[in-house]
Amino acid sequence: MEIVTTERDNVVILSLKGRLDFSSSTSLKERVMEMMREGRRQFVINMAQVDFINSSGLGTLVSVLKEVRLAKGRMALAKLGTYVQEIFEITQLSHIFEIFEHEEEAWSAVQSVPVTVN
Amino acid sequence: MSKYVESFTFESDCSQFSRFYEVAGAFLQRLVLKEEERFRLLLCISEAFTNAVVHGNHLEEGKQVRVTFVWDARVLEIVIEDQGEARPEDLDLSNATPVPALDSASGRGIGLIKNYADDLKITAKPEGGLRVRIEWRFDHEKPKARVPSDALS
Repeated sequence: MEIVTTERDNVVILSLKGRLDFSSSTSLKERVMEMMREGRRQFVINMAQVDFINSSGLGTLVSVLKEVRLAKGRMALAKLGTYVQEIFEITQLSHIFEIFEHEEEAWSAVQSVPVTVN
Repeated sequence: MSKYVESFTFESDCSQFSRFYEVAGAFLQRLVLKEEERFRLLLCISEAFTNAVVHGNHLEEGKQVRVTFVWDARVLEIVIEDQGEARPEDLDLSNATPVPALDSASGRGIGLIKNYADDLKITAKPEGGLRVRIEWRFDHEKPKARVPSDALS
């Protein structure tokens, strides 16, 4: 899985491409944790090019979300594909993640977290 | 009706996942499936494969996972076998759900298979390890979710 990282006004946007499963999801968590160590607290995960996700990928997203929230940050998902969205609904994870149709909406939503300056 | 059989063996390390998806993806392309069905079927197979490699064989060098496809025009049977030490009763199959505690980072895999597949059986192999059999029938439309709504609350 490829991860392209961009930043816009203190929000880290991680654009994922490919499969989010056991073998690929570790790199996502490592990237988020690395950015949190650098003081970042606002994240948008753009899922437009995630063509497959299974329970391992879901588990990693849950784990990442918990870490972000523990650090009083905020994370939103954007642009889930039809079948990826279905898996979130079946597992009811659509209730705990903030999910937006457009990256812009997700970016606006996570802006409400006060930024801590280290 | 003739049945077709294909079998593949994988080592239990992370590098095998790419090969697994290539093999499974190529196989599913040969079946006449709607796109959503192909996604759900690949999901089920990947859940069972991941369980076998990670939880069954503990990613141990030297242990293998075998994936066998048996199919005809009406039904596809996928059998995934590991060489681990787990027992079927360890998995609490009857209570598996795609909706464990929402903040749980694990525990959804078997529930997802149960949700989508027509049948799921997990048995112990005499020589050790588990045998997971997933049945997928082609002769009817599957609802998106089989989890009763009252089980989701």
